[in-house]
Amino acid sequence: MMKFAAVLLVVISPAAGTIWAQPEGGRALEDALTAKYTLTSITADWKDVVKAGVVVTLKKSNLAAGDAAGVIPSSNTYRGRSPRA
Amino acid sequence: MSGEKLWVTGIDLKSKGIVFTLVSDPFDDVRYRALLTFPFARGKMPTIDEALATVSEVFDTEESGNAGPAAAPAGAQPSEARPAPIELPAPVSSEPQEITDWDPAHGRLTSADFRRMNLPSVDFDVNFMRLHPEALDQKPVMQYFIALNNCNDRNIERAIYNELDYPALAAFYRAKAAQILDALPRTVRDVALYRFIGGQQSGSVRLWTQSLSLGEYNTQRKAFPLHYPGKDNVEIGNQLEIGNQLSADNTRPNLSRACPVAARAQAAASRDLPAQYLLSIQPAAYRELPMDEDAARKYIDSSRGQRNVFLAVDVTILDSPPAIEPLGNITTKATFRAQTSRIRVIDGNTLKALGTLFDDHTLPAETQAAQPPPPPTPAKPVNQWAFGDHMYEIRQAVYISLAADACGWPMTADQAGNLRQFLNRVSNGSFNEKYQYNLAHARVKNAINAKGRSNFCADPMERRDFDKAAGTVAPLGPIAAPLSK
Repeated sequence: MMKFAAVLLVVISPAAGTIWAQPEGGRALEDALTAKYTLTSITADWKDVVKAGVVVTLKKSNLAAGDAAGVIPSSNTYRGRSPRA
Repeated sequence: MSGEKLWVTGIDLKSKGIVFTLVSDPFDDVRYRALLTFPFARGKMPTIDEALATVSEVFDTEESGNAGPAAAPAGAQPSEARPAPIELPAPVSSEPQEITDWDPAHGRLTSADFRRMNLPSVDFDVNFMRLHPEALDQKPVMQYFIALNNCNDRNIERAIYNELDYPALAAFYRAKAAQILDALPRTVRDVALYRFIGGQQSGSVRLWTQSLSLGEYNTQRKAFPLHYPGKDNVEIGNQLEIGNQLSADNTRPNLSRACPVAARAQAAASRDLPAQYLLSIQPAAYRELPMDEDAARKYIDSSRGQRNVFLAVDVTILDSPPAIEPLGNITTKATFRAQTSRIRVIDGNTLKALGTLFDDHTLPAETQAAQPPPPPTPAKPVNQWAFGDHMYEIRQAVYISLAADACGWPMTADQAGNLRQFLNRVSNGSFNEKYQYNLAHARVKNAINAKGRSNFCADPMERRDFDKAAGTVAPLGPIAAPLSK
């Protein structure tokens, strides 16, 4: 039993260091963003909107997007003025 | 190119920034998803104001068309929410070019004939033939099509059913079908919605127990609230089922009177055409019917307390092939993608229009009790509904280009140049264009590879399809037309 617990500890430890702990104020920021950008719920097969939130209009070019049903979504980074600039 | 509209399905605070998950409306039944990260400068989390300011550099927001009270922005009272649909589709043209070079020896269905008939069954059948031309390969459908082009010509009616005369007639109309069908209106008018709510069918009589109604006039908002049973708004879902048109009031002619030659042919073709048509439209919700006080006073006096109403929806069918699904063992249903052109509120007692909930002004104006201010017209196509034609154009252009390359099938130098420029433009265009291009490219390549290039090129059906498609490339047709300067 002790051996099993030790193995678990080894497995978990490295991961624990990388888990993102939300900083103070993070929840307030998330709340503020979701208040302005009301989230939309979509069915698991990506076919239908269950609950409609806001529709956003993109003001910038060249956003890359892939098939929503794909495993890995396309990632983009906004290189404009950063939130902390 | 900016301007695409997207749904936000997630906002996550990560160690390096704020991550938005964005999802598009379906294009060719496929939704697209993207993650967009707003990175923190120097790894420090921004203030709320800073974060909102940065995100708003990238997005404008608007509420969704079907957002009811549950989906309204935080803090907004449902009763104070804007009554108009939030999603304002860009108008699409519903008035195609008329044909000017026609041999008068043969009859031809024109836009004027089409409007004169004003029969939804014909509207949908004809749009089905236009968007699913394979249907015309069925003899009864071709006979129906020829009959529609020759409504009062009994000699043609005779020839349609004479196996000696029919082949030449069919060959002529097969060659002209695309030209005729492309010149007909895409608009279907007066699809009745919420005329009957609840109740049951008894023989040919619909016994209904509830109806859409107007509440007490609000003098401050200059509007009647709309009451759907149990709700304080009326929602228009993303599918309209056809078969419930205003034609139920018997004010429209039937086909045997409007186009006598086609009546028999339509009946015979019914087994080869969809038994049911559906329209897939952008959802929307409405809370009130704007009306000035004078008009409201007249309506209140005339209604005598009976304020039952229903909606008449006019739609423009987009140029995408319909989705065809089995409905039973031998019947099918077809779903067209369509854009709402106008939604009017109809008095259930007089069957006259009381006012308009939405109008993109692509249809001729009619007398209306009250008109809300016209919605702001987006500067350019804004969503899948407006993009429908363009995405179809991309798919066609990709197919024609790849098939011509694979088989060495001919096009004129002008066509090849236009096609090359168009594909170059869209493959470097907006993300929707690029993905439609990539998607079509992969699918056509796969289709050719799956069949084997030599088999594909040797197949006369493929060649026929190519020739038909190539005939639509500019300057011979509308596909890949150069941008106007």
